[in-house]
Amino acid sequence: MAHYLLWMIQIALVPVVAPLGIGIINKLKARMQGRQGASILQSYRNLRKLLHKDEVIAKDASWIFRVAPFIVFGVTVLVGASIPLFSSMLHLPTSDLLMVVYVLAIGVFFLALAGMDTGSAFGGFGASREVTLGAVAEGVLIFSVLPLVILGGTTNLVVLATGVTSGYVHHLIPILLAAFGFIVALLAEAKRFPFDNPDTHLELTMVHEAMILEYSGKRLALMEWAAANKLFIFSALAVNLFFPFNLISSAGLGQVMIGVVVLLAKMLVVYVGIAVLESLIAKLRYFRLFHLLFVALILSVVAIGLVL
Amino acid sequence: MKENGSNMFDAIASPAGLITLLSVFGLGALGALVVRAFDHVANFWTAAFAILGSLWGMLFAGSIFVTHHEVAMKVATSSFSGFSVAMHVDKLAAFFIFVISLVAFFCSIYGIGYAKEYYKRFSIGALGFFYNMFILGMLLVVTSFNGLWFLLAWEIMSLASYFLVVYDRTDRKNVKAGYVYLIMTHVGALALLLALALLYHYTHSFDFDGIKAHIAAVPHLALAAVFGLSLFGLGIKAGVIPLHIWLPSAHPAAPSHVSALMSGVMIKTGIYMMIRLFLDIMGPAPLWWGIVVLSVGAVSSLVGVLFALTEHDLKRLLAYHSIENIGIILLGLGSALIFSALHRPELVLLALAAALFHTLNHATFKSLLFLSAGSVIQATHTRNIEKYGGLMKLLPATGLFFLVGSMAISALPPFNGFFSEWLTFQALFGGIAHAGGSAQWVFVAAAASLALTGGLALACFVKAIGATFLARPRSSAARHAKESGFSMKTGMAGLAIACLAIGLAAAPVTRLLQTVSREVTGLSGVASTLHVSGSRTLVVGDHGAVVSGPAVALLLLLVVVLVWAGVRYGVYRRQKVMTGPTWDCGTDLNERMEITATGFSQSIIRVFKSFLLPTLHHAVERHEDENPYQIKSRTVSMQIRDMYQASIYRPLYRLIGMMSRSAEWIHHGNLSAYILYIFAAIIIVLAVGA
Amino acid sequence: MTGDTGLIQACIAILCLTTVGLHVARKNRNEAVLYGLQSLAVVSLFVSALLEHYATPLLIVAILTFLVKVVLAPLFFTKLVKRHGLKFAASTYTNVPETAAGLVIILILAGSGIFAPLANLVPGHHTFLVMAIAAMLSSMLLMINRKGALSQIVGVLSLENSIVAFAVLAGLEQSAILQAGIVFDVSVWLVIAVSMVSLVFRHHGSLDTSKMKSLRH
Repeated sequence: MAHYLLWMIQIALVPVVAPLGIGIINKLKARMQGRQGASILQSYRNLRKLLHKDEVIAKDASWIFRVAPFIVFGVTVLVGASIPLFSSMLHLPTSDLLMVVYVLAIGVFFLALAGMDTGSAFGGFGASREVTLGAVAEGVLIFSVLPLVILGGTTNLVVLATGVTSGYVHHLIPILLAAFGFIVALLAEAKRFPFDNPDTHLELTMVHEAMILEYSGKRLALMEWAAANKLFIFSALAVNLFFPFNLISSAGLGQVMIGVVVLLAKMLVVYVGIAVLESLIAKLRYFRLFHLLFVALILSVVAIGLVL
Repeated sequence: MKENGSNMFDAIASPAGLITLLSVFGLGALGALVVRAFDHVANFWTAAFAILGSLWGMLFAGSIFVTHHEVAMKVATSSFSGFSVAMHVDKLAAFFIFVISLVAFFCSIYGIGYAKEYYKRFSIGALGFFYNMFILGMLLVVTSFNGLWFLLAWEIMSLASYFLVVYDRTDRKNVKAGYVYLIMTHVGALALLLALALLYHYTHSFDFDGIKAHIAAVPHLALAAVFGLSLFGLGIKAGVIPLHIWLPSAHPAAPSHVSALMSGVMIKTGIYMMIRLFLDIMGPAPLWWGIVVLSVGAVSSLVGVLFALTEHDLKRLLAYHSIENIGIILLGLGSALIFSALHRPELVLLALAAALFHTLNHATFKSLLFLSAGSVIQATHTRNIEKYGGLMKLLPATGLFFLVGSMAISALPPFNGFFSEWLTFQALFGGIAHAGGSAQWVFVAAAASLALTGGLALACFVKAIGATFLARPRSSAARHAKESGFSMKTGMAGLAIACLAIGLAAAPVTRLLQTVSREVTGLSGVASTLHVSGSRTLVVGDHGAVVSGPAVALLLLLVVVLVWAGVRYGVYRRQKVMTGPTWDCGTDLNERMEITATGFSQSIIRVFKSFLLPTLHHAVERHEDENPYQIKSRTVSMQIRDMYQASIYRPLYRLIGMMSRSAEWIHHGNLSAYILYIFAAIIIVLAVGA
Repeated sequence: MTGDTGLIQACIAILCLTTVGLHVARKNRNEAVLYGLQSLAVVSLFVSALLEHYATPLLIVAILTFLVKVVLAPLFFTKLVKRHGLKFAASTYTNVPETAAGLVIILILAGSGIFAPLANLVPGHHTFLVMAIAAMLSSMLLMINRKGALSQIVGVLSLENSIVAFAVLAGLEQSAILQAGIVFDVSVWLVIAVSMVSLVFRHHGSLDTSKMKSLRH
């Protein structure tokens, strides 16, 4: 029974809490800009509103446009349930590093196709930018976790997360370098500053928003929710792979509560960091982003060299 | 009953079974020539024999696996002791026979409908003859066990495919492509002949088992030369960088089902021979061989996919992806060679299983992609992606199959491509962790190359699908396209189902491939890092790196269906879903507003511009007489310079041209002098031989 | 010198981090501040040598270096920057990933066999000597890579700092020649820097070396 409860929390945690995270970021950014800002629950209200609205689908779109939101959202829910969140006992057959990366790539694939499907110029170049960024960011993502893989001898994320604390003694610097590389990849994949501005709809500054421009109603709700999920997933991976102090190994209710609370506290730190970053720096010019990604790749290679 | 069954497999897995296999294709070839006067009959004869032959081939290969026999046949000729018609089918050869037959089966079904395009224009009988000879040649290559017989089979395969490449001879580019292909494949064959001659010199045998028995007699320098020559010769066939220049022109030139066979299977025969030579015959390989193969693989995969991104001819794009995937297979093979030099047998089995699995997977999804591309090209009569668009609504089945092939080649679960790339990654990670010194860094570079390649392949196929099938048609050809016939759809559907099925059955297939690896490398009793638990899960190492084909497919399906059901039934149900035009900012929406394939790939070309060296030219034409400041027309041309042509091959052509011109003096036309040459040659040969 | 390794570790870390920071710094003022920090680290190395083995000449050298390099030099630079309005020094010949790759290669080179005789002068301090050598090479990279003359001057100075740090770590700080050299170097520093920079700026109109066309024949 307790096991089922654990699984329910594991599956539901990402979709339920992710919009709250987006709300916190927006509120903090608004405060830093001197405004009151919307309440932190506003994302939930947005989703509810969108789910109940009518939809308009472009005439030129094929079945891929209609099916893509379900696939993109479903993929984030599956990955959210597979990664180590608060317990070291729960793992799915999809808890492998490469499996997670490529299952998320399914989402990117269909998202980019949906962007091109309507035949508008925005969607087309949004898709072009997205897959270019995604190609290099995927490499940085795999490479930044590679030092942990070498230390742990496996690509299973849950096993890696439980093993990292023992590596701190000798390998603190490589783990920190790899964490920096992972955070750069996080910002790239979740499309936050300096890679993409999630608040804008100007053609010069959109990547993710460009691809979902033609969506409306419940499909748009699913796409936005999926983006929030993705941010949560990557942040959870960042804190749980590199600083995993909260993974419980028993099923007692008290332990579970502590595990979840510590996870949410760590996530809060990450979200506050993202909000501060977005208020302090500007979005980088598109082709300068690859310089940043390559530097992150070089740092990950240095981290690997230090671990070997 | 069971005894009958095992008897049946025993009966098939025998020399008689092999001869039947070869004769079916032989009969198909000859028969097609006989009935060539009647297009329809020739088409059906070819297809029927090819289909029967492929079915028998799959059955034969299956029997070899079930009964663990090894079929060996040898017909020695007394005149020249080096040459004998020796055939030997062990598990490795049986695996390749299976791959050839699987792909040939579906391509032949597809070919029934596809060849209708050539009725009345070209000889269908000739098509059928060369098609069957091509498959026969490939089967002979993987079953031959004597060096000279192998070269003969290699030649049959290359000549048959040459004639198929130039089949549509009205297009000059096809003829040129065939010409380049012919020259390069013969250069490769020459290198292989030299390698075999070197081995004969020291081991006094052309038979593979004879060479293997006496391999210790070959000095290291000669072994290194044999390695270099055979890598060169087999590399030309496999299409590794920088020996690949024939591939992007030759594969698109052939009819689509032949392109599928060439890309899916023929280049794998090079891989087969590399495995046979480096791992089986030439014994324990030194470390540097593995490093060379691994580096070649890493370079091929990355460069192949970068060039694919710049292509707008649909078939050339797919041909460059073949180069990329050969690179990935070589990553696995190179890792296996390195691990065998480092005495880590458990990792050798993992790496070799990864290479073999990717061979199988690439054969299936590449042929699927070529068949769908052929379908699109047949419907629109152009290969230029920029003229497509909106074909998903007109060619829904083709679009779906192309989508399946693209997902498989981009290594997206639950299709088969993911599992072989997962295994390759595990082999590379194992190398990073366990190899020593400089080999570790080669593995790191290879892993970086593979990680980047995966993402870039996905980008390229988003471009291909998006520009071809989605949005609005960009030309009248695309507006009037019609879906392909039943046989073509069946061929494609079969391969698509195979992609999914192999993905679901990844675990049993891997277990089978490990058996093959054990046999090839002789490591029968060794526990491997890779094992299969249950019959559904692949496990690498002891710390829980686990993937499972059926599980991930089930989970994905479950989640997507649940989400759909939740939205459909859980959310307030009276919303309307209307269709309307795409938002066009108030202007007229036409097909020029969609992103073009060129525009799509500009981002990536700019990111990698120091490697791809794109050039941009402006040509401006002015009204000279009236007003020199008024521009009549402006042409912008963007090009990617083919650096291999420019820096390697053009200088080579110039050198060869120079040498040929300086030797021209021999052709002066004097008959007496020619007779003198003949006498001189005879005397020299007699003197040397004596 | 075998003294308090905690202090030495911190000094070396600051030396290396400031050298990397000089590559990243976009504003001249930041470069000046980083240079000041670097000089502070070098002075701390002197202090730790003093703590272990007191010698008056060394004390004089330390105080002099502190006054000139840590206090006066950054002040001088910032005034120069303000007077001529030279805020930014960001133009380089290579872009960021290439610079990062260059730094990594330098680190590997410094630790490899080429510099082994130098790094093994004092076996106990092998890592520190390797990092000092890496700082030297990195300052040379800064000089080559940057187009602004001000950055190149800071590069020379940072090279000098690294050499001094190397000498101190290799146990040479007690030699009178080295101390005399440092004093001389510090006093000449001021004179040259002031006159050179003003001269260059007045003559060429800017400090961007790629614009100094009249240096060509």
